[in-house]
Amino acid sequence: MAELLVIPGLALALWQILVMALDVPQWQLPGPWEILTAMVEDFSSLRAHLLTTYGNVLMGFLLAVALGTGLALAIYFSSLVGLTLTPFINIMCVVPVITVVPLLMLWLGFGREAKLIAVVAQSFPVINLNALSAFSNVAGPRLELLRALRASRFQTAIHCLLPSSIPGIFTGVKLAAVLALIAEVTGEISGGDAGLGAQTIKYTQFLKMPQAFACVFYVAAFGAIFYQSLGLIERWLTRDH
Amino acid sequence: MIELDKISKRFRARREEFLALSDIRLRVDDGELACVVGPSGCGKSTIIRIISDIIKPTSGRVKVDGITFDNSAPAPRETIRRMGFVFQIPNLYPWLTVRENIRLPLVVLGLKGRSWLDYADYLIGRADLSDQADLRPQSLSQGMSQRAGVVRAMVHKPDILLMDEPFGALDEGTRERMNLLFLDIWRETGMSVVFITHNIEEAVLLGQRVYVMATGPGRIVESVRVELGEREARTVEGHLFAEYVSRLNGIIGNVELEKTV
Repeated sequence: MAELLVIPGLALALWQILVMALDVPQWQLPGPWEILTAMVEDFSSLRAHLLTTYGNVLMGFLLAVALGTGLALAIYFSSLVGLTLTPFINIMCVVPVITVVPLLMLWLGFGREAKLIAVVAQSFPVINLNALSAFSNVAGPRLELLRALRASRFQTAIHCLLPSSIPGIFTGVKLAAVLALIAEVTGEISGGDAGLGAQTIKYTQFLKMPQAFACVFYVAAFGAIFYQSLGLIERWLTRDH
Repeated sequence: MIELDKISKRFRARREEFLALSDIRLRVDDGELACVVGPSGCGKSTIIRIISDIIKPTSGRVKVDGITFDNSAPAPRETIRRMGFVFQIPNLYPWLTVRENIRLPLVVLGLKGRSWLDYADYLIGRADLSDQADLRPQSLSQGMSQRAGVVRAMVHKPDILLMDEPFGALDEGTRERMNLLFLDIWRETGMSVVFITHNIEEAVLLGQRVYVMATGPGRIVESVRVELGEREARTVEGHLFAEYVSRLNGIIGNVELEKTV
């Protein structure tokens, strides 16, 4: 784990040296030290925004996991559900969230709901498509045991489909984590004054670049930790696969 | 009693239909161990999937203890619950321990209570898997995995056991030990068994009746009653045993010859 920090540490050190050596003005590009100082000093004023962004991402992401996997099971078991939903899911997969956020805000206002919907809409299709592909690739003989026992669809999902498909599902889940964060910050930038996205815009307008970068760093740190944590959960869940 | 009456099965592959089974008539009495032997692709495995109603026949009927089912009437759940299925590859789930794998049918069928768990443990001991029961199946040998697959099929105390070349992937020595262990367990439980194999010696060793199948389309060409003495039933070297093997080889040889003429 420590070796993972060596390269980013060196890059930050180089950044700091270049900013100092070239005497780059702080309003153009602050050094990592100034950003780190802003992260610590402004933590109390940013705390509410951190909680807004992180909370929305986590909640939207969890909803997307449930929706994406649940719909994948429904599509797997019912071709009628598949025929009905798949075209919409495919379209949602390719439409960038930034194009729909203004519409969501028009309908729902600048509050939490529009951003939450944006997060779910952006992240669940990728989970759905990967989960569906993983279910379809479960080996027939694995399922045959449950078929021979006349297991219900629910039992088949719990005892075989879901455990067999964890690696495939997690491919989508990890992508969805990144997309969820992008959707949330995009939503915050598009309107409203809560969240790290909105704060980045506010600080940039006042040329408070260390604070603006502090917000970006908080987003990036969360994204990196979130992604790595999902990787660890995946490794733990697939330890016997 | 299991009865297959004029069963035929057509499969469709790439817009083409082919006849996999034709006019299959087969009968297994209560407590009988019947083997179905034949070359690869003759539809042996399809037969037991039709008995267990995993595959629907195109025509014909299956009768299990007086309950009839066919391509329009599915087998009642209760009838299916009285069957156990042993697969060629045991397919133990790697995320469960050996014990959890063996208990899985109990969970799926909703059979709760100490007596069921005790019976599962008894079978685990009977199959000599007690030391491996809490390990993951990845650490088992092929023979151990197959033993686990056999006891998993028996854990819900079925009256009928359907076995699809269960020992086909094992080496000669392990297969022989598995056959003898299985014979002991079968005598203990008195189940009706349909045992699919392509190995004639295995069919003679295990079966009280052997159905011989041929390909193109899959059909039963002969049914042979096997009556080995107790001593010869424990070895593959007796005179009578060799006679049966030779007779079955002759039947299969004749069918192959007819096909080439």
